[in-house]
Amino acid sequence: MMKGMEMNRSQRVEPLRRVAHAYAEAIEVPRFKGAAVRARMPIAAPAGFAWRWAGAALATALLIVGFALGSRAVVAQVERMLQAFATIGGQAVPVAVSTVSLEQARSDMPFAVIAPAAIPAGFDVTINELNVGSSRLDSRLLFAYQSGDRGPGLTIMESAARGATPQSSMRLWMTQSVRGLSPPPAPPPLPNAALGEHALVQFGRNGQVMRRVRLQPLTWIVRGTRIDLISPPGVLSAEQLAAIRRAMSH
Amino acid sequence: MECSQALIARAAAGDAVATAELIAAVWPDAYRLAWSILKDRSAAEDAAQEGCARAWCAMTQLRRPERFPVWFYRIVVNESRRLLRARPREPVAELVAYSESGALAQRLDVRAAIDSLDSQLRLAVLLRYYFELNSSEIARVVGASPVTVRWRLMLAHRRLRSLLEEYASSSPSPTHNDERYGDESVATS
Repeated sequence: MMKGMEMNRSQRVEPLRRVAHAYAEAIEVPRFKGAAVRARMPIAAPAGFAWRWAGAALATALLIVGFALGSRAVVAQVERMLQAFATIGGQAVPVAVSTVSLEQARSDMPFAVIAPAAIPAGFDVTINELNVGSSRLDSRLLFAYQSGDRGPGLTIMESAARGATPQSSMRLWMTQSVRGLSPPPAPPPLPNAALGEHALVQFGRNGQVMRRVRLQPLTWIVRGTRIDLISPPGVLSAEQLAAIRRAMSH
Repeated sequence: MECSQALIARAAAGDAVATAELIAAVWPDAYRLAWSILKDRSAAEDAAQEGCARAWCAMTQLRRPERFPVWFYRIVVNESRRLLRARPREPVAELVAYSESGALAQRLDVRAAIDSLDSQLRLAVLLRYYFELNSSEIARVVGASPVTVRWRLMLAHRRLRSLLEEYASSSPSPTHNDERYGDESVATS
């Protein structure tokens, strides 16, 4: 009887096994890309790099994201709230910020959304739409990659290569509150700041600029979409940045 | 998973060449797992690469090389779920090209039937009948209890009954030795 039961179980299980194999074997597996996998492996931040104060900054014309940090102590929870302000020709322009999914962004944005690829492991991503003024052509899409309670490790901004407003006349200012401490609500005067400059900005408790580091973005255009890739020094290697650019260039 | 215990042991011991070879060998498994959850090629490739990268970095932390399959699949499943949470799932229409219409019809039936299962049942079926894990191992991969896993397998079997009857009535394949899963049972009503 035991043998009969075993045969019955085998008869029931075998078709399932064949179905599962048929299903799995029909999945077309792409070629293994060892370089893409290795590019995702995080590198250690260099000793002495002050993660805790790293406010990430981006510019279309000039866009600064400032982080206000009260201390350098490690915190368990970081509450992030993104706000954005814009001035075009010296006039304040409303900016609507919304957190979206990639699919929503593809539906909303007037340009081809290039999905980030070859991003190293260890980052969480938040996708934000920035709708500036009344023209959708000035909309921006922001992929902010962060690790724990550190500042942004990698930021990718996408926009239409030909927006309604010339990039040189728009200035975006994005702030992020950490542990209830907010950076100044308006862009501080930054002497000698050039248009298109990107910067890391640290603010003290009183809102004064404590430190600023200029960054050189990677910028390229693919399928009519302008992509700006910003990463603080020491977060990603040149190889990793190049891998991201290659992966997002088609 | 088609890779030797010796290769896994060398990788776990810190052999970089063995690690690279091992990750390349398990890539198809990673992709198939990710795809069954995400149902999107680029997302599945993203999740599978991410899982492979994490496993590569953490290989030397694997204390028991014989548990590599479960450990690795768990990483890939977690990465896939993380990506899934970041976006809403959409049905993906994919073409399966075959020269024989009979084979095409059959494969479309299989795909449609398995796809009709919810993701938890589909994952349980694949892990059990394709990746050949037992209930306890599947439980560790998906983060559920073995009882829950067996329940899901039973539900999947019920829902696939008509398809399975077709397969049972077609030409039989060699009987698989099921002694390893002597404590398993697939209940039918």
